[in-house]
Amino acid sequence: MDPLSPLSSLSYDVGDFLYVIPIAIPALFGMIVLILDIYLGRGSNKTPLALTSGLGCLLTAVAAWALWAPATGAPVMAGTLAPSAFGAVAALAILIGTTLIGFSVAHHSQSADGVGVDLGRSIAHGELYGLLLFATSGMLAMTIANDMVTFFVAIETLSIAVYALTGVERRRARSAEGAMKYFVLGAFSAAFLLYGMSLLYGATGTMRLDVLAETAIKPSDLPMATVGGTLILIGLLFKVGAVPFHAWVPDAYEGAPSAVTGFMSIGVKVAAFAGMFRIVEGLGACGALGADLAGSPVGSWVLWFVAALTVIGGNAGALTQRNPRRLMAYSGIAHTGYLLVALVAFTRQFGHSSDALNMTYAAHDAAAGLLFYLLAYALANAGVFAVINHLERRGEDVDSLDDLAGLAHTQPRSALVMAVCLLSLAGIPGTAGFLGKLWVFRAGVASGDVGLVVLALMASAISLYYYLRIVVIMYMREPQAGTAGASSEDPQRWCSRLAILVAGVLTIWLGVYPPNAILKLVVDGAQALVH
Amino acid sequence: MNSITTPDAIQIVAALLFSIGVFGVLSRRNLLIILMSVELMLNGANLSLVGFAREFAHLPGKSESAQVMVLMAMAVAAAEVAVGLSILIALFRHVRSVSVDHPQATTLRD
Amino acid sequence: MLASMFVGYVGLAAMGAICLIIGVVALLLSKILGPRRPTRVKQLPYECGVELIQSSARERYSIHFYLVAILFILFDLETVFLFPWAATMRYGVDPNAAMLRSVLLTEVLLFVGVLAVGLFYVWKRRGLEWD
Repeated sequence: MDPLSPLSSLSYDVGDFLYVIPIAIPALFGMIVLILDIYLGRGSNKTPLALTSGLGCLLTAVAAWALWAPATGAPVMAGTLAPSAFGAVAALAILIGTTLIGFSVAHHSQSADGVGVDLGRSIAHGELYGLLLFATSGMLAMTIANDMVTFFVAIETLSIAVYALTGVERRRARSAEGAMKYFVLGAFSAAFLLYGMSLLYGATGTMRLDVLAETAIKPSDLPMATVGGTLILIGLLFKVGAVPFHAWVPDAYEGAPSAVTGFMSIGVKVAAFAGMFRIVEGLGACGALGADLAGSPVGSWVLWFVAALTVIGGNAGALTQRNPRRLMAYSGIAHTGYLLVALVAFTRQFGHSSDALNMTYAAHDAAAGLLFYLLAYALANAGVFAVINHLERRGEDVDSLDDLAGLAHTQPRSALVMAVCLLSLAGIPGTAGFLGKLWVFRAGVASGDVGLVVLALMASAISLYYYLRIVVIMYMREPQAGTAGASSEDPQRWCSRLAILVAGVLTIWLGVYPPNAILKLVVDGAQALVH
Repeated sequence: MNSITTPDAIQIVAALLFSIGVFGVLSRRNLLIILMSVELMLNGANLSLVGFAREFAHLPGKSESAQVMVLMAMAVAAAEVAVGLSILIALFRHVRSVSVDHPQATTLRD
Repeated sequence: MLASMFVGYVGLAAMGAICLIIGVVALLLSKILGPRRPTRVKQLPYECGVELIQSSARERYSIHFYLVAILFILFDLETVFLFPWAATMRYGVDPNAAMLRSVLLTEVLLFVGVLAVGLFYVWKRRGLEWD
C-alpha cells in the first residue's frame, strides 16, 4: 500500500465487527449498570444490578459460543483480533467467574432483617458491577487479541478496573493498602510489558502475533528480540502471580473484599494465561525464546524453574494460612504453578528436538489441558468464593477459617459445595479439577518433563492438607456463636444460593461426565493454537 | 539523518529513561515519587516505540502500529494515574502518610 | 562522526546563547540604571493580582481541585484519538469512498458516545459540582 495515496476501502470486512460483539456486550452492560444505579437511587436494593450484569454475561457467553467457537483463529479486523475456540473457552471460564461472583454478592445491600436496605458497609454498588463488567470486557479482548496494541490495551483495561475494585471497600485501610500495593507493582509490570513489546517490534517490525510467528529475525536483532520477549513474559508472569513475582498476591487478595478476591483469582488468571499462551506461540515461533539448549529453547528451561518454584512456593505458603482469602491467594499461586507446567510443555515444540512430532502432540495436549484446567479452576474458585460471599454481609466478614466452623450443621448445602470445590482444587477424582490436572500433567509427561510433573504431583498431595483442613473445620467442629458459620439460612439470599448451586453442579458434571460439546470446544481451541 | 537523533541514540535515551524509572521505583520511599518513576518507565517505552517507528518509516504499513501504540499507551497511562492517585488518596485518609516506610503501612513493600 | 551529529544543533545552541545574553544584560541594566524606591507593598511577591497567601505553599488543599484535575486529564487525553481521526478523514481517505467514510464516522461516534456516557455519569454523580 502506498502511504501517500488516500484510502478508498476498509482493510477489513465490515462483517468482522461481528467478532467484536462478545467484547462489546460486557462494556455496554457495564455502562447500563452504572446508569441504572443512578436511577435506582442511594438507598435501594441492588439486586437488579446483579441480575442485569448476569444477563449481560449470559448474552456474552452465547455470543462468544456462537461467533468465536466456529472461527479458525485466522486474523480479522485488519489483523487485530484472531477469534477461535481457544478464545471461546477462555471467555466461558471468565464469564463463569464474573456471573457467579456478581450473583453471590447481590444480597450485600440488604439489611439484617431482610426487609430494608443497609448500604453502610455494602460493596454491592453500581461501581462494583460496572467495574466487574469493564474488566470482563478487557479479559475477553485479551483472549483473542492478535496484535500487541490490542493486547496491551486489553490487559490494561482489566488491570485498571481490578486496581479500582481492590480498593472498592474504601472505608477500610486494608482495602486501600492492598489496592495500592497491587497498583504500584501492576503499573511497574505494565511498563515492562510495554517496553518488551517495543523491543520486540524493533527487532521484527511487526506488532501482529501471527506475522511475528512467521518472521525470521536477523541474527543481529535476535538479542533485542529475546530481551523484548523476556520483558513481556516477566510482565505476564507477574499478572498470573508466578513465584519470583508473586509478592503482591497475598496482600492484594487479603486486602480486597472477598467478592473482588474471587473475581481476581478467576478472571485475571484465566485471561493472563490465555494471553500468555498466545504471545508465547508468537515468541517461540520467531525464535525470541532464546537459543537451543538440549532440544528446547532456553526460555523453556527458565520457565521450567519458574514453574517448579511456583508450585513449591504456593503450596508451602498455603500450609500455615488462617485467613481464607490469604489461603486462596497461595492456592492460586500453586495453581499458577500447575498451569506453568502446561506452558513449559507447550514451549518444548519450538526446540530442534529429535522427535518434533511428539513435541507438537505435547503442545496440543498442553493447550487443551490448559483450557480444561481453566474451566475447572474457574468453577471451583467461583464455588469457594460464592460460599464465602454468601456468608458475608456488612461486617460479618469471614476473616478466619474458624468462622467457618460447623457450617455443615447450619448450612449443609453451602458446606457441601465448598467441600466439593476444595476437593476439585486439590484434584480429587470425580471432580473437574482432577481431569484438568490429569490433562495438564499428561502433556508434561509427553513433552519429557517427568521431573517437573512428579514435583507438581507431590506438591498437590501436600495441598490436600490445607484444603481438607477447611473441610474438617466445616464438618467436624461445632458452630461458634457470632461467626458466619453459626448463621442460619436466609431466604433473602437466593441469588448467592443460585451461584453456589451452579458452581457445585458444574464442578461435578465436568468431573464425572464432561459433555462432548465442551470437550470438542477445548480440542478445537488447542487446534487453533497449535497447527 | 544529519543530527544526533540517530536510531541508536533514541534507543539509548529510551533505555536510560526506562532504567531511571526502574531505579526510582525500587529505591524511593515516597509513593508519589514511585508513581512518577512508573510514568518515566512508560515514557521510556513510548520513546523507544516512536524511535522504532521512525526507523521503519520508509517501509509502508510498518510504523503505523507503533504510533497507534504510543497514543494508546498515553491514554492508558492517564487512566492508570487517575486510578492510582485515587487509591493513594483513599490510603492517605487512613494512614496520613505517603511513605512506604510509615508504621501503619510497613507491609507496603514485601 | 560525533561532531557531525551535532551540526544540526548549532542554530539551537546559538539561539540559547543569545537568549541568555539578552536576559542577563536586561537584568543587569535595570539593576544598574533603574531608580529604586522600595515600599512594603512593592516588596511583596507578585501573585497575579490575588491577595498574597502568607502560609506555607505545602499545606493541603481542597479535594475538589484534585477531582477536577483528574476529570480534565481523562477527558482531555481522549482528544489524542480525535486528531489522527480528523487528519485521516481530511487527507487520508478517498472523498468518494462513501462506505469507508461512514464506517469511520460510526466508529468515532461510538467513541465519543462512550465518552458522553462517562460525562453523564460524572454529572449525575455530582462530580462536577463544587460543593
